[in-house]
Amino acid sequence: MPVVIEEPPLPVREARAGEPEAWEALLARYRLPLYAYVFELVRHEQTALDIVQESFIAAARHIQGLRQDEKFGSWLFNIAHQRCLQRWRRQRPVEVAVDLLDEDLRDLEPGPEELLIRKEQEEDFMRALGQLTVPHRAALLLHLVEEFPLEEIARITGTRLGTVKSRLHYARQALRELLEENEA
Amino acid sequence: MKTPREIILERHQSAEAKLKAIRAEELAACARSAAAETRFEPQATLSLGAIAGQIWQEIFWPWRRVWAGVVAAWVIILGLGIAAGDTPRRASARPPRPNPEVLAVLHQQEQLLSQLLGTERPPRIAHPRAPGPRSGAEPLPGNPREASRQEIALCENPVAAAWITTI
Repeated sequence: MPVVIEEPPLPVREARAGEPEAWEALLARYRLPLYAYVFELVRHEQTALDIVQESFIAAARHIQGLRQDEKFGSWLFNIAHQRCLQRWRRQRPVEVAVDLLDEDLRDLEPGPEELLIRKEQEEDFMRALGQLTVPHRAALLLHLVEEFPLEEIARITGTRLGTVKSRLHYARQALRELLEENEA
Repeated sequence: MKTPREIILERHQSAEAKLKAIRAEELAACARSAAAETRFEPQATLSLGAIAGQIWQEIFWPWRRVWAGVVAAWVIILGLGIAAGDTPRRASARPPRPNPEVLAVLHQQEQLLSQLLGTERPPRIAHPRAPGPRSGAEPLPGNPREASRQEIALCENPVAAAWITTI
């Protein structure tokens, strides 16, 4: 029987009150996943570091407006996602994702835990991830790294639920094909 | 075998040292100042002094040089006006009396007009009234058909109508 380790509740209330220990805990929990997500989108180390820092500062400034403490993670990722979009708008247009119609989707997508990668496939996986378009990569990263539910991913990326399903479906399919190509 | 999460986080583990530059103390200070601002906002009252201060800060102070220029211009204009000493007199409320010669000419033209129209005195144009009920309509004096014909002629002749209204 698998052992499920429940994470302790996030000290969002304490962070709102301005307690440094609470912010230390939030930093320890989110700084690396957030950096990984941002880096995989922007593909530039310094930019990713800047965006993570800016996102945490913005979160500290606006945490009084956060209504649901348990949504801190998706709220923080949403701030970072918006910052990435701002950077792209200044630099170059965002790639347009090829979204499938909702009717083409099946609710049979495996969860992130079902996708296991062998040691020799790790490089190929990262390379294939980098070859996806930005919207597909964003949806897949949020699903894989933080295991956000689809509704949360839709909220973070500012898209409809159907679009998120479509992007995840397409991203998984593309990733599988790229991995198979690399293996062959 | 690893999960994608493990692979991705491991790949970026090296950035952890740089990410530690983000100080929790600074974030906590940010949150505290934001909380203090939020607490302060509802207590803000609209006192007269505060409004005057805000107007001064937002309207006058940023444009102080422009306002100073406007004031200086008005001072110069007033100074020149006082120096010239020709303060304008108020025009009398009563209109000037008409010249008797003009009145005589107008009287002659009135007579001429009445002769042209075939009446002793030109009829005054009645102010248009809202049509009332037919039963309450008053009959015109004399021959009603003739009187209405004259009124129509007057209305169609703008020169005559203008003269009559002038008189």
